[in-house]
Order: sequence, then structure tokens, then C-alpha cells
Amino acid sequence: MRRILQVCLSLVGLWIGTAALQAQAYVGITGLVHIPTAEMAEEGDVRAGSFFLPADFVPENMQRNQEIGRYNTFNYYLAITPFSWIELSYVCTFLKAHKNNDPTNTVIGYYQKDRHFNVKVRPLKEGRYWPALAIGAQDPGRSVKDNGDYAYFQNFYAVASKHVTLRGHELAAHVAYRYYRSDFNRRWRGVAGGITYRPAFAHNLRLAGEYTGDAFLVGVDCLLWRHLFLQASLQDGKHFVGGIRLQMNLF
Amino acid sequence: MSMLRWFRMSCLVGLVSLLTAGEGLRAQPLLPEGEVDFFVGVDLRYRDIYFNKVYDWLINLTPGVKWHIGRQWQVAAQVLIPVVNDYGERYKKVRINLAALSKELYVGQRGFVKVSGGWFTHERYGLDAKGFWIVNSWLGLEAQAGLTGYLSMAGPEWEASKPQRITALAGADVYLTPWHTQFRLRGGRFLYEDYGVIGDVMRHFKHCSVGLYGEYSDKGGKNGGFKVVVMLPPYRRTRHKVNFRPASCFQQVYNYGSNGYQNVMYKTDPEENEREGWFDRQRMPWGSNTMAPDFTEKGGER
Repeated sequence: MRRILQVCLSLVGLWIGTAALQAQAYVGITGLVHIPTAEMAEEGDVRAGSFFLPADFVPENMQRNQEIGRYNTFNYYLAITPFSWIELSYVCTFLKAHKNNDPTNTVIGYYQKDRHFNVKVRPLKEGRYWPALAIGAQDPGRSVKDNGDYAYFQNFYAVASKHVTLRGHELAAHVAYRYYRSDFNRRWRGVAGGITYRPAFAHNLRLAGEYTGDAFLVGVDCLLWRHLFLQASLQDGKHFVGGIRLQMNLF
Repeated sequence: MSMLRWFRMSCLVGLVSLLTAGEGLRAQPLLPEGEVDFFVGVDLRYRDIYFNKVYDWLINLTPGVKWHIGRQWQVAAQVLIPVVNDYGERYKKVRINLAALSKELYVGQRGFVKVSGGWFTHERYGLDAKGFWIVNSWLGLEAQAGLTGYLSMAGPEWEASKPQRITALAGADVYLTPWHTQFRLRGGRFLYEDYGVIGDVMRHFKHCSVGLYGEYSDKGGKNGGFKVVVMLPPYRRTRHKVNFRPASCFQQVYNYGSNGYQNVMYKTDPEENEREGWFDRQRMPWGSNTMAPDFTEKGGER
């Protein structure tokens, strides 16, 4: 028993010492780091943030230029929860390219961007005996016909979330099924999931672990002064993913 | 006004400015009779159409004046003062953005008409008429028509054309009061002679409105995006015959297709915005006017 307790405390310590989570945070939709959950932000919440995204975290096809190679990037987003059952976000991710889109130009920088929208709808609110269910899409508007394989982030998902509270401590489990349309994202197709823990003594703090279908992430996030949200996580124990956002409620 | 609220609204305005591209400052309906307001805001735009830099920026200060002469006659003017300009030569001069005379008319309790003449935004001059008819508490019909020409101070010399261009739009608005959510559909002939239709859905929050839109035009095809209107503090004001204040609101429109010539319409008031509409809120108890007023003053709402 004592050994189990030690292992549990070690895991919590590891989480605290590494990263963060609340939301498919890197695009502004409520979830884990890479995986959405069926949790929803408060009605009227608006968020604006930016994330650092390591090379291993983003779709490989974003980095198909052999000369440039794989690179870390970053994004920014604007998100809103206009009603309690729907979340929307707009995301702009910076891409490296040759200046003026000229392959002979040796100057390489973040000259291009991928822009896409996200939507998540929660048709079933969590009850005492059943989980919340949500469905959603990332970059749903782009078609193969129009854009080939430039739909870097496009996926459609269904997710369930269930919370348990014991003496103020909140534990939640999240299971998602995601369909990534493009083959270059097939590593994320299928079942993914994670768990989150919110301690009774600090409800603004959240610890999380998730499996994306390809990688494990552990992280921690924290909301400070009601408006400043910070998140940090580690993918496979070595790649930092993290960001910052400002949020407020419009009511 | 608490410092916290100032901070929150400033953050929101700043974030919206940084993260979207759009049209800039718009307007507030009718001032109290006989009063003059001097105001200033910021028109911030950016575009993402080249591969040699992240964004092109255009930031203008937008000082303006409005004077309610009496009997719903209003004079308004606004100037653009460039502060940052990556857009090129035609945007570098201090120039007039709007100088117009407007008159509001009322037809019973349900009909509203606004007639304007002068120099409008988007470098147009001429005549414009707008109308709104309240069908019931949730449905309204709107129309707008104009006869304008081109007038610009942007070049080395003034440029103008005869006022021969006809614009005409008609549409309907549905307002769901329990959720303060507005649906708006309008179509017709727009400023750059394209025929198109725009559908909006907008939720109105306290001091802020956020909406999505989709549009189609015969020249630009399909497009869409989102828009944000933030009413700027101070929300409690003391009014005098002559008033100096920040602009009433800040509006940004994100246009996914980066098409600045599709389904565009000029403005006839320097603070015109989609949250407040075209008419005096105290006379028009419809739509977002049924919410608590954004601005109050000693002695009652504005």
C-alpha cells in the first residue's frame, strides 16, 4: 500500500514538474493538449493565446520541404464560447518557407501561415451516471479537391468525458475517437484519451496525461488572476509543448 | 469605471486588433440634440497576401466630430491620420474619411429612415438612404440604397468621378431576445458593382458583440469570417454641450478570403457599427437596443 502511494505521489510530482493542460489548448478549444475533451468553457468566455509547437507535435506534411527540414513552430488563436454547448476558434500557425516563396532564395523564415477554424458541439451534458459527449472538427471547411493535402490539421472527432469528485479533488477521464482525413496524419487516427486531476487545494491547477495515438504527453496548466492561463507539457518526456493565453468572460 | 474593467476591455480590444484584420472604427447613433462630440479612435488593419513578411500593417488615427444640429439632423466628419503604413503610397496621406449630413425620419413606431448626403467612407460621395421596418419583436426588414461617385484625396491630386453608381441592398433581421442573438441576411448590388448576399449570426454580450458571417458574390465567390464589435469605455459619462471622448466602439472584421472588394458597402457615420445599427436606440426598441445601454450618463441612459 505504501509503495502504491509512493508511486502515485511520484507520478503527481512528475506532472507538476513537467507540463500543463486544460483544453485542446493549442487551438483554444477545451481539452487536453492535443486531444479535445467533452468539457466546455463557460458561456461567454473568449480566449486569445499563443503556443509553442515542437516539430514532433505538428503534422509531418507541414515540414515536407527537404531543404528546410523539420522545425519547431508556433501559433496564435482566438476562441469563443458563444453558448454553453458550442466552442469556436480560429487558429493561425506559422510555417517556414523561402522568402517570396522562391526556392532559389536562401533566406528562410516564417513567411507562410496555415489558417483554420475549429468547432466543438456538446449535445449531451454530463450527468451523475453518464459522461458528457461532444463532437467536433478541426479545419472542417477545407476540401481535398480545392486544397490537396494542405489540410494539415483536418480531423473530425467524438469524445466523452466523465468527472468524479472526492473531497474536493476532481478526477476526470476522457476518451476520444478521431478521424484524421489525410494519410500523413494517420498516426493520430483512432482512439485517444487521457486523465486529468484537479486538487482540492488549488482548483485553478490541473494535471493531465494523455495518449494521442502516437505519443504520450504529461502536463500541467494553471489559471492565474482569472485571466492569465499558462500551460506546459512534455511529449514523450522530451519535447516541450506550451503556451499562454488571456481569457475573460463577456457577460 | 473600475481599473479592472478598463484593463479587461483594453486587453480585449488589443487582442482583437492583433489577431484579426478588418475595418476599424464605426459609430454611435444620434447624440442628444444640440450637442457636439469630438472623438478619436484607431483604425487598425493588417493583411497577409505576400510571402516576404508576416503581415502588412496599416494603423490610422481616426479623429472625428459629430454635431446633432436638432430635429434629427446630424453633421459628422472624420479624418484618417496614418501612423503605420505598409500598404503603400495611397495610404500615406492625412485625408478625409467622411464628411456627411444625415437626417433621421420616423414612420409611426415601426418605420425608420435615414437619409445621408456627402462624403462617405470607402472614398465615395453622393446620397444614401437606409430604412428599417419593425415587423414584430423578433423580425425586422431593412433596405439601403445609394447613388455615389468616387472621391479620393489619396493620390497626388484629388480624384473624382460622376456620382453614377447605384447600390441597393435589402434584407431581413431576426432577433432572439432570450439569447440576444441576431441573424441577418441581406443581398443586392454592392459598392464595387458585384451582386451578392451576406448571412450573419451575431451574439451580443455586455459591451461586446461577436459574430460569424458567410457570403457569396458573383465576382468574389464564396467567403466568410468573423467580426467583433467592442464598445469602448468609459461607459459612464458626463455630457456637456461639447464633449471630448474616445471613439464609441472598435470593430474588426476577419475576412478569410482576404478579399477587400467583395460585398463591401460604405458607411455614412464615422462610428457606424453592427451592434447599434443605424438608428437612435431610444426611439427604436428592437434588437440589441433592448439590452442594457452600453453608455450611461447622469440622469439616464444615452
